[in-house]
Formats: sequence, structure tokens, C-alpha cells
Amino acid sequence: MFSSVLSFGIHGIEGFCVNVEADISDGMPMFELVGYLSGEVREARERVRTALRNSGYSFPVKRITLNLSPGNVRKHGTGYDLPMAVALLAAMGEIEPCGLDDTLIIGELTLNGGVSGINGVLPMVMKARGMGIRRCIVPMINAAEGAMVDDIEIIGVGTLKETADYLNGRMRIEPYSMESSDASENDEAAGCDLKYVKGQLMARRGLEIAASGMHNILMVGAPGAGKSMLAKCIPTILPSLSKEEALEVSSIYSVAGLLKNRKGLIRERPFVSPHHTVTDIAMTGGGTYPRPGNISLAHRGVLFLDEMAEFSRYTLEVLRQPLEDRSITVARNHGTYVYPADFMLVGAMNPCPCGAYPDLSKCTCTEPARRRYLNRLSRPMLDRMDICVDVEKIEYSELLSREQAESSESVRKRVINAQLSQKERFKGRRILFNSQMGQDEINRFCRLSGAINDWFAEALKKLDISARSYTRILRVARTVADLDGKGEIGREHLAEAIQLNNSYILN
Amino acid sequence: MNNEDIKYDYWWAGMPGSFHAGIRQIADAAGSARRLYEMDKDELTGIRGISEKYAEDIIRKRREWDLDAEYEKLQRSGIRFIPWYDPNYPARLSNIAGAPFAIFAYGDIPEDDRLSVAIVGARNCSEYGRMTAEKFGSELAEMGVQIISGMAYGIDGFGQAAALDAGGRSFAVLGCGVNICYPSTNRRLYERLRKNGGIISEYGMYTQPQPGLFPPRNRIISALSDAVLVVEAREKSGTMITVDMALEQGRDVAVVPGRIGDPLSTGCIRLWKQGAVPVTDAEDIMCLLDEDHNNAGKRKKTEKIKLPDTEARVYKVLGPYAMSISDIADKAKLPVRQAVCVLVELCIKGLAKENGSGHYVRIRDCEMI
Repeated sequence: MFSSVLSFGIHGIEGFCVNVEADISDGMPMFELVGYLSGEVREARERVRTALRNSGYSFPVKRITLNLSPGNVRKHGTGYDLPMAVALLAAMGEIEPCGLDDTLIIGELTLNGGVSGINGVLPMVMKARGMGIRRCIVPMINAAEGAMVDDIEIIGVGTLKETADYLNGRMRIEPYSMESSDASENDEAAGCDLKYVKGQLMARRGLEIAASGMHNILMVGAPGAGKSMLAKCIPTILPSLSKEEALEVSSIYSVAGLLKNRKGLIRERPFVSPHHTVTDIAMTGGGTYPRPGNISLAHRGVLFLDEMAEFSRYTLEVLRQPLEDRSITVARNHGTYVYPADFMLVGAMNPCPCGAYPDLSKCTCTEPARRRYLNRLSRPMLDRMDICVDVEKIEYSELLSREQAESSESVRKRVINAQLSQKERFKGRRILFNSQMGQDEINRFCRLSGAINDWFAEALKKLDISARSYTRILRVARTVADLDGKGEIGREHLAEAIQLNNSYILN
Repeated sequence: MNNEDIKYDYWWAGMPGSFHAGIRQIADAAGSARRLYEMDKDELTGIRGISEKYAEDIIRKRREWDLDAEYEKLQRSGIRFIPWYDPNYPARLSNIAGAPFAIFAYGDIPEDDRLSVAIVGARNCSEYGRMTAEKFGSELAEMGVQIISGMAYGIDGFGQAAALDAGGRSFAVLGCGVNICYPSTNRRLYERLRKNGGIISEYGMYTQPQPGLFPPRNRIISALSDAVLVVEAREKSGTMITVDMALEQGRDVAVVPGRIGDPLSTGCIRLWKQGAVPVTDAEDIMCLLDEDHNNAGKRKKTEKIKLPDTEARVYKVLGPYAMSISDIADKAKLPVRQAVCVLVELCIKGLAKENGSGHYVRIRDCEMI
């Protein structure tokens, strides 16, 4: 007898439809799986057989064929266990085939017939809703994740037996709803707020400007000056994710298997801080069956590279293309995968190997040693860092002071305003932020009036500023003017942008 | 001396990696470099200062060395080989202990009857050190003084470059072969020195820079100078070796007074306490050298400029030591944002400079009107 069950796989961060077909016929007893399967899908044979027996069914002594169609796309992952078992039960006549219409089934089986969680439930459910599917049967542990998508029924199941009873109408399971869970879960990194950052006026200002225009920023300062703490505060001054952004980010985390036991969408901007020994593949995403890498996990958020000069040069260079394209394309044997990677790059490094420069009474580094250290960041990489700020070592007296600095919340208000005026400006264009302006936009939106243009030309000449830095300065000056609520870029905006430019490291 | 002998002398002085200290004494003991070339091993070991291993070295080296070809190569290279008996050999060098057997020169050598002053100091110097070295370099050059130094990073290079900028002549004594530019980042200075002065070394062509070669070259720096000026030096440094040599050779030592407590000034201040003469401008050095010079009235006037109020306030706060923007804003009593704008203006006017990210120094001393 033949039966078919609808299931889903993951390609990149999108779900795709897979039909699980089962056929039981007379002949030599055997259990065959076909459909261009990877190792872990092939192993499902043993899990399905055992789970079936341990759920109280007798495994038929017949010729059994399971097919995952389409047969020309590689299937991987463990989510096909449950649909295989259900298809088999339907073929055996244990489940009414009519209950399977319009129903998506995914989940991994344990040997005793339990259903355990899988990765990528959210994008699968999103895709299913797009296709007009009415109902999804997912592992209990992934139910909350599936329920993030509106207008589709999510049925969480704990065992194979439960699934069969539900499909036969012998047991009722209420669709999982968000109301029953705590959706207001707040995962703001505990204790991270700009109000706890003492002093650091320049760095705070740099961060505010960077966040407003989504400019990449490099912080240079002595060890212990507070670079990491400042970086961690960036998500707290960025506007929280919109619904679409939240779904997008949550999808990536779902595929990466980082969404388990989570209630509600990810609302906070991601903050990803890989260690400097990270490999290029871990950064971009990859593997035989690619998983999103650090840059995709930082999508719509912050990628923080602490001790940026210590990263291998190659790892840093692979960032260049995603920084331009805002996505990364990973090509593998079984296909080409595109992961979104629209992030703000935040780097932190010491000014010299010992960290004390320019305090010559403490710095023991020779000039060439310092040069070599700075040169670990390639010029093309530095060209992508719009802003460079100095993070000073904090004075003891400042640490002790009771005075509380401005909170993240009030900085965030200004950032949101600045971003709104950018949204207005770039309406109908492909870009959202000043940092993404190309030559055309710069010509149009960064026009300088006569006197200011002359002054800027003089400054470029006297300060020996390169053409690359020139466009960077204009972009940042645009953001500074936006923060001031000014339509025209003024001298003070340009001056600040010149100061924030990293020319010092470049020359 | 006939023409042939110089080839042997060139072999003796120019073997890359020669055992330099004492090659002159050995040549004297043997009679001449030519004799050394012709001696067998037993004769060589009979000379004081030649061990068995050294003798083997000499024999091996002369086997590899083609006298005529190498000498021709030297002549083609444009590098001058000046042995101690050559009339061009600097007189200042002949009368010191441990005078080099020969020197190599790319470009000229210092003139004997013209004053010369060495400007030496720390490689990792402060902006104050840089300004001071440049000030002395150009002032002395304008008085026609030849500047001698080691072309190193920091004080050495800054002093020499300033002398060349002022139209003067300067000479670098290297711790490697003269055809090697060390440090390589001073390539531009190296080329300029070749044209408006010279590159000098006692080591043969292609001798690579090695730590052991630098202290002996310092004795040549001090010997070629009438006075040694120390701009910034840590307590333990190569500069102090130069000073020790200078004192041994009877040269005057002048120091630039620095701040107490600043590690870069500890060396200068110690020398000062030991009797070195503190100087604040080139004329002080001239007085030290008892020189009559007709530049007495030429002391440079401090430049006078007019600045808007906020710029003047920030400018007054700035000094030769790097200060962070927030400190500057604090001291000038300006909001940080305004201070940033003013600093950028000052940089454009060439009065200040960013030195280390977010740190600024004053680079020109002016008086406010």
C-alpha cells in the first residue's frame, strides 16, 4: 500500500518541500530508503524501525520502500524521521490517510518512540505558511519556535504514538499559542547600558554616530580601557528589531540550532563576538552541509572582533565581500547557499603590542614593532572602517565618581531619529543607511555649499587625506548632520568626521 | 704603497663579516694586509690576536676572494674605499684609539676643517624629542655645521633630515655595509644623504646589520664630531655608548634638558649631572666649541600668529607630549565636540598634529598676538 506525507528540509536559511512516500508490497522482506540521502538520513532506518516497535506497532515483514522526493536534491538532517514513520504507519493502515492532507510533519525520533527537537523549524513553518499549508506537526520542544509564525496551526508532539493518535482523531492536541507562553522574554545582555560607562566621551560619541549610520567602527585603546564593554552596549543603542527583521534573525538562529527552548522571536539586535582563533569557515558559514557562520548570526546586529589585530589575516579578508554585498554566498558540492550577513562591524585593538602608546613613559615598543602591529589590518580592511575612536584608560577618580552617565535609552532616541531621517532620504533606493551610500548617493546627498567646500578641499590637501578617506568622511559627516537634525552638512560636521577618520592608522 | 697593495687592503677590510675589532693591529703586526694574504697557517697563528679558528677563517676567506674581480666590483659600485694611510682618511678619525683600518663611503666624507656635531638619541622618541632634534639639526646646518649621526629611527633620522631640509650637509655612520639601507624605512633619507653628505661605514659591502656591529660604529660617530648632542635618551641605551666614546676621545657632550621623571630624559639628566652641558639652541653649542661665528644675531624670532579665541585657548593647552581629546577639552574648558572641531582646524593650519589615535601634539611654537 502506498502513502505520502508532506515534510520540509532546509536549504541555506529557507525551507523547501519534501514528499515522504512509503510503499509496502509483497516480496523479500527488506527496508529500503531512497532519494539522494546523506548519512544521517540513511540512519533513520534504524531509528524508525525501533521507534515503531517500541511504540507498540509490529514492523511488517514485507518489502518496504521509502522515498524522499524530489529525488535530485540532497536531503540532510534528522527531521525526516517522524514523517517517515508516519508515512509507514499510513501505508500499514495504522493511520487514516485523509488526516495527512495539508499537514506538514517534521521531527527526529528516539529509539523509544519519543520525538526530539530539530534545527530550522521556524523557516520551515514560514515557508509552509507561504505555501498555504494549514497545520504543522512539530516536536514539542520546537512548538514555541513554530508558533512565532501567525496564521498557521502548530501542533507540538512528544511521541510517535501521540502523533498517530492525534492524526487518527483519538486524541486532541490544542494548537500551540503564543499567549500561553511568556512572549515578553527579554534577553538584553544583563547589566549592559551606557550609563555604567564612565568618562569615554569620545568613544561614546563615536558609537552613537556609528550606530546612527550603521558605520563600521574601530576602537583603539589600551588593554582594560573598556573597549569590550563599550562594544556590548551597541545593541542597546540600536533600535530594536522590527517584526520582519526579527523573523529573519530568528530564522538564522533556528537553522543554526540556537533557538531551542526560546519563547518568542529574537527582539534584541544580535551581538556576536568570535574569539580571534576563529577560522574563516566558522566566520562565513560552511561545512559539507553549510550552517550559517558568525557573520550571519550577526545579521542586523553587531559583529564584534576583539583584538582585531590578532585575527588571522585570511579570516579578516573574507569579511570584505560580505561587507559590500551584505550577504555571503557559500558554494559546496551539493549546492550554493546564500546567507544574509548585514551587520555592523566593530573592531577593537591595542595601539601597539604593549598597549601603552602614545604614553612614551610606559610604551616600550619600537616604531617598527608598532608599525608591524598596525599593519596586521590590511588597508582594504581599514578602508571599510568608517570610524576610528580612541578609548582612553580611565582615571581612578572617574571610576569612583557617583555621577551617572547618559543612559542607552536616551542615546537610542537620538539614534532612532537619525535613522528615520535616513529612511526618509533613501526612500525608493536599495539602501537604508548613510554607510551604504555609493558614489551616486554621495554626490546627491552630501553636497557641500561653496565656502564649506573650499574649506574641505583645503583640509584634504593639508592633512593629506586620500580619495578613499574622502568618501568615508562625507558619509560620516552626513550621519553627524543627521544627528544634529541638519539637512546641510556644515563645517563642524565635517571636522568631526575628519577627526573620526582613521587616517592616523592608515598613514 | 703601490697600486696592488690596496687590493689586499680591500680584501682585509672588506671581507663580509670580518672580525673587525683589531684588524688594524693585526695588519700592523703582520706588516701589511698583503703579508697576511701570503702567510700560511702556522705564520698566521704566530701573530698575536689570531687564534687557530680565526686563521682558518682567513685562509678560507682568501680562497673564496678574487682580488682583482672584487676590487673592480668596488670601483664600479661608486663606493669609496679609504684605508687609514689614504690622504682623504678623516683627520678626526686618525687620532683616536681604535681608529678603523679603513672606511667605506657612499657619497662624501666630512670635511676636516669644518665643524661637525653629532645629534643622537632615542629611536622611540617623543614629539618633543622630534621637534628638538629638528630644531638643532636645522639651526646647526644653517650655521654651516655638518651633522653626524646613525640614520636610525627617531632622533638620529629626524636631526639629519632637518639638516638636509635646511640645506646643510649630513653624514650617517652605519652598522652595516654602506650599500645596505638600514633601517629600510629610512630609504628616502638614505638617498638624500648620499647626495648631500655621505654614508660611512667601516664594514665591507654587503655586511648585514647585526647587533654586535652597532656599538663599535658609535665610536666613529663621536670621533667624526667635535661635539655630541644628546636629545632624548633612556638611561640604558646605545646613545650612552656614543657618549662614553665621545668622552674617551675628548669630544664635548651637550644635552637637551628634559623633564624629570620622563624615562626618555633620564639619560640626558644623568649626563647633565655628570658634567655634560645643557643647551637650548645651536648657539649654546657654538659657545661650547669656543667658536667665533658670525651668526650671533641670526637667532630666529618666534613666529607671531593671530587665532580666534577658541583656537588660541586649545593651542595654549597643547604641548609637545601627546594629549587625549578629552584632556584637551577639559583644560581648554570647551565641550568635547567643539574641541574636536578646533583641533581639526589647528591641524589644517599646521599648528597641531594627531599623534596616536585621538591624541594631539603641538608642532609649531608660535606666539599669540
